[in-house]
Amino acid sequence: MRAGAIAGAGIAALLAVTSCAGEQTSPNTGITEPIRVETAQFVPGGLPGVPQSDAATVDGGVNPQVTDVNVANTAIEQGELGLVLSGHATTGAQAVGVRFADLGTGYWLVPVGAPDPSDDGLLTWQASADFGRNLPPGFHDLVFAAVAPDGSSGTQSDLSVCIDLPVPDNLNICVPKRKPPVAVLSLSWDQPVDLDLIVEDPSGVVVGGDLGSAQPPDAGSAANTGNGVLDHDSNRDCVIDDIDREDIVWQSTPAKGTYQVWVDLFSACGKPSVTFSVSLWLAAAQADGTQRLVQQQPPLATGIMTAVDANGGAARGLYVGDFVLR
Amino acid sequence: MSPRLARAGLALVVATSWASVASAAWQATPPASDDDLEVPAAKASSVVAPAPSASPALVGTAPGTPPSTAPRLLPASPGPPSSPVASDVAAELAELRARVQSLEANGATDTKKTTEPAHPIVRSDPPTSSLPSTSFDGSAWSRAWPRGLVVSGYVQAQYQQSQASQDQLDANGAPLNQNRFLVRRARLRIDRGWDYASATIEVDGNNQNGVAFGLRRAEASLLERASDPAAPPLVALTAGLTGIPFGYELYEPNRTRLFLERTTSSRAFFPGDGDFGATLGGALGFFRYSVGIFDGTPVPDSQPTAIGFDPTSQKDLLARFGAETQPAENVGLSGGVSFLRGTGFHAGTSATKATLQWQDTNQNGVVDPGEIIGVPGQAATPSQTFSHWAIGVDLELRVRTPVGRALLYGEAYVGQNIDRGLFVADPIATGTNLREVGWYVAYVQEVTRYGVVGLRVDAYSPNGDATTQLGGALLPLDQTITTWSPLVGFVLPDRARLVFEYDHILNHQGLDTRGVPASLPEDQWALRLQVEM
Repeated sequence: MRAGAIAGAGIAALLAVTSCAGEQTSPNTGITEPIRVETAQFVPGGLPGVPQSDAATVDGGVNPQVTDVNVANTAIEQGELGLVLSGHATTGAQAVGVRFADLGTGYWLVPVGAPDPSDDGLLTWQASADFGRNLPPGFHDLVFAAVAPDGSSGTQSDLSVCIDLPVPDNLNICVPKRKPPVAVLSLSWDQPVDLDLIVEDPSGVVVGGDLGSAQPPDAGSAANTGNGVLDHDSNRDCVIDDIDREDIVWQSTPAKGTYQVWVDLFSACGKPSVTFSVSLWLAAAQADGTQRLVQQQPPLATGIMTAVDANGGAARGLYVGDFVLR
Repeated sequence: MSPRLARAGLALVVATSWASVASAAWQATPPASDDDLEVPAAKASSVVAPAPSASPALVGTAPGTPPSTAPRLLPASPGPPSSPVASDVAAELAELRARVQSLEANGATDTKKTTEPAHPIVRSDPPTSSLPSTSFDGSAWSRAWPRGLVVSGYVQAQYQQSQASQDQLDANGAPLNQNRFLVRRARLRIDRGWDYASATIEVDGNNQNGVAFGLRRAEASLLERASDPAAPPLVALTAGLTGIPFGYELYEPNRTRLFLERTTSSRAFFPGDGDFGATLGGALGFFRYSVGIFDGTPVPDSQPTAIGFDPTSQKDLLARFGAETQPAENVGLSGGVSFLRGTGFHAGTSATKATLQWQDTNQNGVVDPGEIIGVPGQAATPSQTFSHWAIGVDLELRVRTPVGRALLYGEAYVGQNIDRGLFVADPIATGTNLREVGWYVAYVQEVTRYGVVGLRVDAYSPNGDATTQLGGALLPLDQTITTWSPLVGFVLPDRARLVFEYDHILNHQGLDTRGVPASLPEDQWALRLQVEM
């Protein structure tokens, strides 16, 4: 038994040695973060470096730092995939970290690339970012920091981005001068099924479902002025797009009266059931004179449909209620 | 005549009559020298050399009767014949006794020759089951091939946890959770051993990647056995789905290996421990040899349906040449060198049709002018082959210590484009050959008959030429994965064992806070219960 005790002590000693053999990264994969960067390392905690506001007194900032950030569009859709962020960092940087200033629990670290001979030998970097589907709409700051080989970091860089609403709003939330639609009726659900939203307006015109082709909400033709337009048919014929939302949009003032609403399970796409929610968004005047889409509470309807409710578009489906526009 | 003497006389007459009949029959139909002898299912005693005990059969006693009682029924020397028949029988008995004594005398002079093993005996002595159940029970390269019908099997059930586990799905929809109960292996094996032939079938069930059942071994062998029944055959020609003769760890059965799985490099080089092919191998004294030709498509037991599909007509040639010696009474030393040369496969692509593609270059979610592009169809690309090779060396030291048997062993491999399981090597795709290096050192120690402790350290570098950009400079990247695996176990000899193993894994797949490659946490542990059937 003495030999066993010796062997056990030896194993414990070896483990103690190996535990000091190298720094380990966090086991947190960052899959639930509001921003996810492909092939980057997630590091829990605050971004290193000095915030821009604190470093304003230092002329030119403290190195290493990110000198510029390039992005194709600062208006970001919820659930957007593969937004390319790129830029330069000062020489001496070894990696670039990025996170939302006010969202998430950590930052993503991307190694810098080759020097850019066309830009004073600054080091290039690039990241491909995905965004969560539940990001709060509105303006948020993406913050960048360069990290030196000794772990030090200089002045951070900010990039203001705008998270768009989940429903079509003509990008009004990011550019308030743009007028939002007057009303939007939105159907969202939780399973990859072909679910359709159908509305009959006071004049008897039916919009949505499999009863008519979808049109872009801002088509602007005379035919649809004042009429609702379906923005898209999500998961049409079970070609899954994973948007799981479709909207009927009234760009101009719709006819007054009662609007009746149906939810039709065209095809369950192999799923046993689906939970849905129908909500109404209306344009409301703001204090600054602009307008903004506001979701009406409570939702118009919520419910569950099962696979046996699928009808292939033979009928309007489940009647879920009505709303009145005055 | 007393009743007791009468019964003894009757027994003598019956016994001698049976002996004479048996003798006559034996003389009438002598067995051909090349006839196979069918032997009952091997028990422990069938593996070791049987003790000479011809006399019980001659006197017709039941098996297991102490031989000391039977000779008392026979006269020490032929007495006066009571009748002509009895006289003939007595004479024949005397002649047979003389022959037996002569044979025993000859055997005594050859004791050293018949008992000297052709392998280190620092192992179960004598073996306590027909097939070895732990690594201590001798090298797989020196296993005795059983005779008769041997049905065996085992079940490995375990609970495991991993730092890499996530309650998420991967891109293919497969769960990433690794904290679970698992039937790692449920094996059933049938061996049928003849004098000059042997066949083996082994099937497996597991739920590593969903419940899967498959063939893990199907061997047909012709062999020439050694005189020592506990020694491996002098030569054996084996064909079918069989073990791959490369190194020590790969050839060792999963049943006997105390560590839960093979090392990282072994699993990278050989995703499965069996392959379709043919081998010629055996043991000549201390020399061990095996040469094989294989399809070169070893697949893990978790993918049984993928086994046996060789995309190339060229075969892999493998060989191992080794030796096993016993330099001291309680020390056994063995080792070998292994070679592999074969052909890998780079899959071609099918032809594609022209398509339209939307590239949202301004990321505004709207189809703008210039964002719809045509992607022309592409012609098919042909598949290609490439060569791969590997060399390995292994060394094993067995010692009988005061607390139990000990085994210190290790291996080292180098290879090129041979990774088929972890970082699959494809020099056609990468445009450069990939050089792989792996090694391990392991030590296991019995603590009495009921305990075992061990430690294994293994390292694997999948690409010796890997590079990375660090601070704008292109630098060599060490991709070595090092695993420290201590284990502790409770053993019921030849029946069951409960083993706890912790794998402390150091890799270079993450980045530390400075952006320097660092270890991504993926430590794991498992508690495995293995019970023999």
